[in-house]
Amino acid sequence: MNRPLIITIGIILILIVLGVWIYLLFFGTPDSPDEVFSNLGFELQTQPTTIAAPVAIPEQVTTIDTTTEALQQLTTRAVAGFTFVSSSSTQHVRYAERGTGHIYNINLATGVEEALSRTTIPQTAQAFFSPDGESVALVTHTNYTSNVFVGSLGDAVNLEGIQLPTDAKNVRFLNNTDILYTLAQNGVTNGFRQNLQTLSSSQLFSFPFMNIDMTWGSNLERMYLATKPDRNHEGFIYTIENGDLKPATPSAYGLSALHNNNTMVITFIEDGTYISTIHPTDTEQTYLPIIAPREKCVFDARIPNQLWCAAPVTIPSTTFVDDWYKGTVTSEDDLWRVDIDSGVAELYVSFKETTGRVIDVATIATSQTSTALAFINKTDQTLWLYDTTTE
Amino acid sequence: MLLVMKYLILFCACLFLYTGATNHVAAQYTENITPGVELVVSPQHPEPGETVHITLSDYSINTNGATFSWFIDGSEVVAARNQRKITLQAGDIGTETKVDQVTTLPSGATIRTSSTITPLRIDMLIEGDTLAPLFYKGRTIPATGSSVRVTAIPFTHESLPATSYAYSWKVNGKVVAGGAQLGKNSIDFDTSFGKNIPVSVDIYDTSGNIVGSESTNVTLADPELLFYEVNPLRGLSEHAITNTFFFLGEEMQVRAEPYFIDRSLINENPYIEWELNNRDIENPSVDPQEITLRRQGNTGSFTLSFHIRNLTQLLQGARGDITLSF
Repeated sequence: MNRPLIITIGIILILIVLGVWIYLLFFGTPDSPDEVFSNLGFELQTQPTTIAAPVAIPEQVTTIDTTTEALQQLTTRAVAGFTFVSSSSTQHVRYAERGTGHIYNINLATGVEEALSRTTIPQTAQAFFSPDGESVALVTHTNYTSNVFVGSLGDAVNLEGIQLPTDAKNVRFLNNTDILYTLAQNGVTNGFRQNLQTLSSSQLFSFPFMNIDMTWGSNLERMYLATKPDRNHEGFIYTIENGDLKPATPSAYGLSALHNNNTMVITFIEDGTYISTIHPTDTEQTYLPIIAPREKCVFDARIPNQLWCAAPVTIPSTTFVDDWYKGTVTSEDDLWRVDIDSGVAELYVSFKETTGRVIDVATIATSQTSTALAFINKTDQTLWLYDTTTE
Repeated sequence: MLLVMKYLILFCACLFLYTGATNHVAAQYTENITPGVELVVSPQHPEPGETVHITLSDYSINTNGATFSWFIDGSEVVAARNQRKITLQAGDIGTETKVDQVTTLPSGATIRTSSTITPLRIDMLIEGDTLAPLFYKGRTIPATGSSVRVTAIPFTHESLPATSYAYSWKVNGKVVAGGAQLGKNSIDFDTSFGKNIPVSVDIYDTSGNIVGSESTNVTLADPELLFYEVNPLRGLSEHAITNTFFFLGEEMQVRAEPYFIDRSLINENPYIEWELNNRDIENPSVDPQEITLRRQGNTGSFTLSFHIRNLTQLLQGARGDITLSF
């Protein structure tokens, strides 16, 4: 090693030692090794900080086979509620995930699923969509209290909205801007209509009973109010027209009903067993060969006297409906097409034969053209689709 | 002499009828032109569409050899000719069906009686302010020891609101609140032992006339206890855990759900007890109705029990257990 190099290294070392000495002289001695020794105190606190934007990880595209088979499982996620949304060319199924309230859209032509909202509403148990699918009411259950968040889909994959009063029940959209609900307090149930844009609210009716189910009707001209079913006490169904309350059916034990504009299918207990009939009847009582609880049936959108029902071939017990509500029995359903005029039910699909699994339908809906049915399987809350155009 | 008196009575009765005097009683009324001659309507207050039996009661006059004719809304019922009884279907609420009966005595004299059927419906709605999980779509019903509410809703031809009438309630055969109260169309009471509680109501209009009566039985349920799995993300499962349940995974959260216990229980610091294989266990969970189970060992089974009771109302409680395998 030559001399100039040694002298240069020596000078550098001296300068370093000198620098350390000056630093310690002005900024003190670090108390512990954990202190940032390399921070020489030159950085100003107001110095602008540049944070690099996180690199967006492209979301993995989920594609669902929606074309191969007539009966398809659409989700592995648990679903709180769903609707059909039609654009000019394609049909979509839009659903809310149970537990999170995240909203997803499945294109039924391509099978591509996309997330529309990642706003998390914990403990989401039910979801109801507006007719255009752009707004959703997410119902959360916490012990004995329910809350309803009504949100509209935004551009930023989120939901923006309002909260309905605590314990609002019978929540449904009247149209894309108005929501309907009931509130039960001190033995009285009041029905309300709330506009989501102006937030104005109006009372629709008042009824002296807490346990009620509402069928609101398409334009509120005729609302159906039913006492919740119970096998040991009489149930009643009323119409509310122009504020007038009138009985709609005779009373019956275990009574519940499914309505469309023309027809009512009522389920009740006769001789100790649940049965379903058409009401009203001009001639003889038309008994349906299957039991048609309101949760498991839907009227065809095109043919008003046609009903789609998911029901078991035989009713497992005389307390079937009550036990099913409590979740102590599972209904091994098949899909039936029921002609209301003749009372004939045609077995359309045997779910167990087709899938090898038990499907217990919790809620069912038809597309606007009735070319598809979608339903939630109660056993795992997954969403299923059936193409009704496939014979 | 007797014959003269008989015709005199008939004459007076016909004169009375001519004046148009009527006698309105409750849901149906009968025009009497002869004392002791009347139409007996059963049931007194028929519901819409209900079968109504109308019987001629004419014990006070001699009708030997007489003929009987029946008219419904002015049209004779030929099939009922010379019958003392007629059966018809009540119409809808708000409709009136006029039934005339004409007895023609051998002398040619006629006795007319009529009755108007105005159907009435009184609905008796029963519910309990009791607990059930929110997903339960049935009615919360009263159980032994819980409170119960019975609501009467009358539907008459007058279309008045229910609160326009006065209500006299009876529970277990005892008159409540000393008698009728205006607008009191519902009643709340606490239940005790027994399975069925008879409840009846008499409804009066503001003039004090009885509008109708109805009775029902409040059937008390046995409080029930079921167990459900709680998923931290998805929430409460809607399928109850049964004894065939297989415990997968290392840990699970279970919620005990009582059915049909009075709602006030949760605010009254109830006695709550969890047991594992019949031994009391401490439950550190914030929610006393939920417990977290962790699996130890490879295979086996255990019995989980839950007991909830209202210490101030000992009839209000439920107990249940399940056997879980792993």
